[in-house]
Amino acid sequence: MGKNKTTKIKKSKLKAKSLKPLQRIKRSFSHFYTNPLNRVIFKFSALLFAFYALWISPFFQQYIVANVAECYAQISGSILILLKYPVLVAGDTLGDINFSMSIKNGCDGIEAMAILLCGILVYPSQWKHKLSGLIVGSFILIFVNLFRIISLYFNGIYTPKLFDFMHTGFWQVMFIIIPLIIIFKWVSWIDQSK
Amino acid sequence: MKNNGIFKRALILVGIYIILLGLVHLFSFQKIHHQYFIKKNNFFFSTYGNGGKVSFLEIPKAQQNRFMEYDVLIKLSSKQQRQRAIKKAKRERKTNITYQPVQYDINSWAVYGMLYVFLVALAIALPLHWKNKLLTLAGSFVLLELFFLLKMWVLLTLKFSIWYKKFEVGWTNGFLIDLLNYFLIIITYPFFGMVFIVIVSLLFSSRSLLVLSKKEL
Repeated sequence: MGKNKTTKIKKSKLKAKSLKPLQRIKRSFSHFYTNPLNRVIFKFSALLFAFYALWISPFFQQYIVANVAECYAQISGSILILLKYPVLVAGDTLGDINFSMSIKNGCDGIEAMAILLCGILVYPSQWKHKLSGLIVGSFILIFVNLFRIISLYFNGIYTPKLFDFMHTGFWQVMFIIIPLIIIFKWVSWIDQSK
Repeated sequence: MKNNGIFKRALILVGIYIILLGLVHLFSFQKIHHQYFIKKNNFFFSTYGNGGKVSFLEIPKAQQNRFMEYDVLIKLSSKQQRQRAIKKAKRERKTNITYQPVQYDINSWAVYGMLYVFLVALAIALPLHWKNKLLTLAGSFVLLELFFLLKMWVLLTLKFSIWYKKFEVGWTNGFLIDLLNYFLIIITYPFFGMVFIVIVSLLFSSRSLLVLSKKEL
């Protein structure tokens, strides 16, 4: 049995050596693509690329990104007012005399939402499961993003030295990790329900 | 991966990332990266296209307050621009030539350097054997370097194209320049770089991750 296996491996190695370089590349690519995880990653990357193509369009920037940013500014402003912090909101900017900040591209959580959407779409499952994953995941991301904006405001007031680190260092990484956690949890939930 | 495994891994990733950022701050790794960034880009891009000249420099101390968060100055000029200046000086019978390069500033750490830290943290946090971790790190590092070179090439092509009349270097097709501009906006964000790192690292470690997930199932 063991001998058979080794002769088979030797034969396939010999066969691989006899192939032309182009055929060899083609073969190793098809081997690479047969890995189910790689297939999902390829599909995920293609979808994400399509999202970025849409995201960069002036229509998307003007009508979706700008409105989402203003919406976040309004809601965060209202929460801060409830917490007795008298902030003013103008467009996508919120703040007071001491500190103000704008919610721009990258701070609106849209890219994290896109990661979630692409991840859920590429995983083979029923549409009702995809929809429920998307709704729950989106709510979690919106909630976390509101928390991020409010916490950054507090950073700006009380720990201004930490603001840059929290803004570019910490929260950016969190907004890649959190959608991935949601996707993994959703996948394990689907597997369990099967 | 087990139900709580993903939370554990995510916590490990964040923990390692924050510790690494602390170490970077402690051992002034930013300065080492700053030097590496200048040397690497001067090596690859000091001559660009048909006559373009690029220099990556430290921001002069006198200008540091003006540039605040930026740490590298990119100066663009071209052979054609210099030749035109020489011709003009000859015509006007001057002994000195003057020509204005175009300058851009960049925050090398925020746009490039931080991504190395994220890559190392991710490679350590992935549930792999140390050998596979190292392979993933090495493979992803090479692709990340290629991504950085592409990013810089796109930036320089776009800047030269915008100033085509001045340099006579770069692209002239308006549609392609617009396309390049859109592409640059996407890849400039560190967030895109981090997504790129996650995808590349998963691709490099997919075989080991698949074996691991089958074992756990």
